Amino acid sequence: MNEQYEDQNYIRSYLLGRLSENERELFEEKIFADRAFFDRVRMTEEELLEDHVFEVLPPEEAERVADRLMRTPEQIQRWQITAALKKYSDRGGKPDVGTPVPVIQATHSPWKWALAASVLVAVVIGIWVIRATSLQRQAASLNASVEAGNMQSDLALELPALRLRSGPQENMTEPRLNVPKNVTVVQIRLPVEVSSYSRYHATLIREPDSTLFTLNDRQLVDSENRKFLVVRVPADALVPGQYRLSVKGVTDDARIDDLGSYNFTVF
Amino acid sequence: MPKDLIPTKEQFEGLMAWLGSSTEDPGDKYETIRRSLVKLFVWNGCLDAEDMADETIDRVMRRVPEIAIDYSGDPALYFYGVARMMLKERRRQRTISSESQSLELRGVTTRSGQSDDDEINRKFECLDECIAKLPADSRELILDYYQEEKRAKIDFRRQIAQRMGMDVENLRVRVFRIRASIYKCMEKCLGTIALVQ
Repeated sequence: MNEQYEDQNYIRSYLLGRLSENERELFEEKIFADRAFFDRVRMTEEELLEDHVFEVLPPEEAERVADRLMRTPEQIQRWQITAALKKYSDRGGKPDVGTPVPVIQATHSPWKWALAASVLVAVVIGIWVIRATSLQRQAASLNASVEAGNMQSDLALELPALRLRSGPQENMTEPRLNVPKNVTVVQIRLPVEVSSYSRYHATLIREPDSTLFTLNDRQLVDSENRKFLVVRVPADALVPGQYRLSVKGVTDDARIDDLGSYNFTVF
Repeated sequence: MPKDLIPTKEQFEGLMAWLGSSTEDPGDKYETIRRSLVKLFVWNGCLDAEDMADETIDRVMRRVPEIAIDYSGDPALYFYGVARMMLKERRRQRTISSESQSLELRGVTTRSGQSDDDEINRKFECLDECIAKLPADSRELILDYYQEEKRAKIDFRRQIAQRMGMDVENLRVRVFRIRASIYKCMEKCLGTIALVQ
């Protein structure tokens, strides 16, 4: 029984969600009973993230790592640091960020400069894509069960009431929001005074046009005799800048109407 | 949290006394249990792992007067039992694994804005700072460890271990510790979320 816990692959199986419920329970008991084992599991988690960065995992495992170990902001940040560490090591640990790797400096070959630049762009884009995909998951998870009870600790941002057609809203000050450090979830509330749609789609966009996530088939939430379309956003996704919540309404006969965009600024 | 559910000072002291019955350092035991709870919830897909861990501890704390009378064994396992129940409750409320799948994942725009670049540059600057603070042998080891290309990596680890006169397992532990100290330093430098749990 204990031998399997010594097996690195068994620990990986737990982290990748491959153990049965019963095996999982026994494994987790061991985590609590044996501190050294707990450390080994944490270490294996780190190594899985590392293997993901090094692209040495089979595709199915890489997908499981992305799905299971790159969900929380902390995990994503650690993935990013590991990627940065790898890149840092690859360029020989030289401190100046702006300078290319020494081997390229020595050769002065234009195609190597281009290659280095494209690698850098790929890393930047790769990090961004993983973060955005993960944000989509986080947002989906946060919004899966939107009830008054689980939203009390959210920081609320109320937008101007939903209008029934697109276009700029006149005489309306754009809401501004400062997200304190201790806030983990921001709740965007869009009042809906006349509800003629059975469900709504909402897309949060960071200006100029970076789509952060899309939530489909949202229902309105009742709160203090008013109806709201509620979108919960992980606070750390709202870095200072301008944002736009694009809303669509879906009728009973599946027609989709554009209900406009609602801007706000995070400062 | 309703006022009557907020643990009192007496309840906290009761918890520490109970933990103290099985260890010399109840504070350390408490920290270890909390860390294990946070990771347990993270590994079970909970985004609010810290809150869930605190809720588990609160629940146990409120029950200590009854538990302490006849509970035998490691208190950590009792915490795990409560955490397990909370996970089951959570799954009943919303099926954790299916909720993200039930919502259509839309394509994301693969753009890199200026602030993304700034953020990455800042990470590199912090990394420079944090790596510079490492002792020379640790710095050399971590840079070596991350330098190797793709598939040769596992053999490369073996080579590094041999060169340093240790086995691969010890090398893993050493790298894990160095990385933890880098995370800690990065946390301070970036002023962000806790990376070490």
